[in-house]
Amino acid sequence: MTASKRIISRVVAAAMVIAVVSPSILASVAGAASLSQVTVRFDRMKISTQTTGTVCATPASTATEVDVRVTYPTGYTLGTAASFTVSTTNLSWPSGAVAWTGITTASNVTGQVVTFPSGDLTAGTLYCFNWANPAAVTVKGTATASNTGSVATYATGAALIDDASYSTASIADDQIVVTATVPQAFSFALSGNTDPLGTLSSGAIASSGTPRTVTINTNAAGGWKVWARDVSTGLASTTAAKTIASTTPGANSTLTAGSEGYNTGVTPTNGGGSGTITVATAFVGGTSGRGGGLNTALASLATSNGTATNHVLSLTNNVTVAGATPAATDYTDTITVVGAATF
Amino acid sequence: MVSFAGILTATMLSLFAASPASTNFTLKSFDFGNGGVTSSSSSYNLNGTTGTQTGASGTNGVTIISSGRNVTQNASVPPSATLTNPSGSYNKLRIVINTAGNPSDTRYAVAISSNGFTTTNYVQSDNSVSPVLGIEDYQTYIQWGSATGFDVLGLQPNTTYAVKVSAYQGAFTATAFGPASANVATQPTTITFSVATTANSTPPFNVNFAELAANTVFTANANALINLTTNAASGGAIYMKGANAGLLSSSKSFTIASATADLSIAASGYGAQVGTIGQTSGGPLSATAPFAGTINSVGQITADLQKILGLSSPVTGGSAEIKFMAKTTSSTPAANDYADTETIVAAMKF
Repeated sequence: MTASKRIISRVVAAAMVIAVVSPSILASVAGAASLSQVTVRFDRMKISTQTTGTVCATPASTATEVDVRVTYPTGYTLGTAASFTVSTTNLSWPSGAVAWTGITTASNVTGQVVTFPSGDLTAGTLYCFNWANPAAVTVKGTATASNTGSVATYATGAALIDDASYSTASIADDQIVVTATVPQAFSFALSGNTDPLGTLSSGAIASSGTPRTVTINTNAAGGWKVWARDVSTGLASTTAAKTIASTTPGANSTLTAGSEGYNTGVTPTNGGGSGTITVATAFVGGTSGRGGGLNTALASLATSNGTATNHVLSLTNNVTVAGATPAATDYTDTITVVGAATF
Repeated sequence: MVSFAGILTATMLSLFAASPASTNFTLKSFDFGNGGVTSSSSSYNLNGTTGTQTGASGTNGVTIISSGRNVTQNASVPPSATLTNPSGSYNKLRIVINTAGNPSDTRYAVAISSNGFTTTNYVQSDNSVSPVLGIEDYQTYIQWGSATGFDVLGLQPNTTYAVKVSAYQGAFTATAFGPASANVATQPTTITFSVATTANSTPPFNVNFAELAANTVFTANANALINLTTNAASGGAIYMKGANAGLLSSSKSFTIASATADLSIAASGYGAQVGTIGQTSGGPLSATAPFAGTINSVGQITADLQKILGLSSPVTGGSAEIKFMAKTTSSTPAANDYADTETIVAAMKF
């Protein structure tokens, strides 16, 4: 190219620019831009299953939207327009998404195309909305990949603004059923197997120096029960052929110094678990000499109504003697304590 | 060859649509003679002018060019560009412009059509497509990616396109658009997705904890198995929710509540953890917090869908396993009917 050819004619240059941008030259050109970040999430993908879902898209064009039309894949069964109620609750929407402006219940369903009225949208903003009624959409009846649909925004006069396609899949099953068994557990422990009451005096109530405890752990939803009985219905001396009789078995009592009597009082300590301990009325203890008499039949000491973590019963044995009570060193009783749970 | 000189009239603007053109030959150079008279034509294209501006205006307000010294000419009409879909995309195609020996400062505009140019759009300077062609959309060969080319974006899936290229050099009139490229199709949007377990490939999909003895962390006897292939340009996500937000015993009306926790430390709980992840290509699939834990750390499974896996680009042969883990206390009610139903779905971002 010669130097003279490179010299620019400003007039021609100006004319060229006009030609490039002249609407008259571009009059035959028309077309929609693409929505981006288009997501249509079906909350169920299992075949023949009703589903709610979410629609998201980012407009590309600056225009005044009046509706958004969602084309559902072929084979998906759609309800009436009224069934396409919507919400703008953020249900794990993509990051940065905002509520779709002016979205309302669908106004029309024609074929696979559902028209939702929309407010004006801002180009470059990611909008989302949910169709909230599962009766509106039923996934197709066969499992297939790449079930294609589209999302499109329109201006007044059904003028297409932006559109884009999406794909989803219908699958045989979208659910995993997780099952488990929690095995039954029950533990029951006595803190000791002896309870020396020492030398008895007619002037005082003798009680367990270190009350023995029962500790219960169980995952029985129905709770547990503890029972007790003794072998002699009192403290018996073989050498003296004398029994200090249990005081009114089946009824709560408080012993009095100087009068013969023998009973067992129970105090509870709730640990963890859902259960609460209830001591049987006859064996309520907690104060000096208070409790219930045991006999040879198992009697309920306490119950709990739920699971137990370190539920504790404290067993206090009380005894009183009179001046005429025969002396002996072998007064003894054997108390059997058992427990069970209700699973 | 046509030459004009002297005063250009406004009517001449309509003559600039095309320079000497041929689909068989490239005109490398042509020349202009001297002289000329005031002229207008509705039958010929203006290829160049001679003379320089005088700065004076004629009676119609047009610029007056003095006669006699200078000439101009158009760039060569570009031959057809190379149009391909190298990545099998659904929304973009690759264009490599053929310069036809035009100077390096030559600028090119690209027209694109999906219907044989009955309707024409233009590639914008940001590689998007618009019905409007602006002067800024004429870019140099280098700006259009040189021999590597560039991707025109925002195309429709499963659609066949062709392109044409126009050029201008210096400040001269742009050439007509050259011949169309070969027709090349975008791919349809695609997703292949499945849910199964490592124990069963066909439904029903059940996984089980043998027995949840207290104070020990257990993992279910099988994992959920997800498979995903998609060409979604922006990737997407896999979501999960639980019907009971925990393991529910209907007979005991008790739920081992799902929680985000390290079950090694927590007294009890139930949750999910993404295990093995992989893909043949693309992606990658990645676990989303709080499901990306290790050892005994799990994420809470809620009654609403939560993102459990994500990807930001297309993936082929993506797979992921999801573990279910649980721990109970000694006071968790005994029962053999603890259960939860996890729903797993995928949604891609096209």
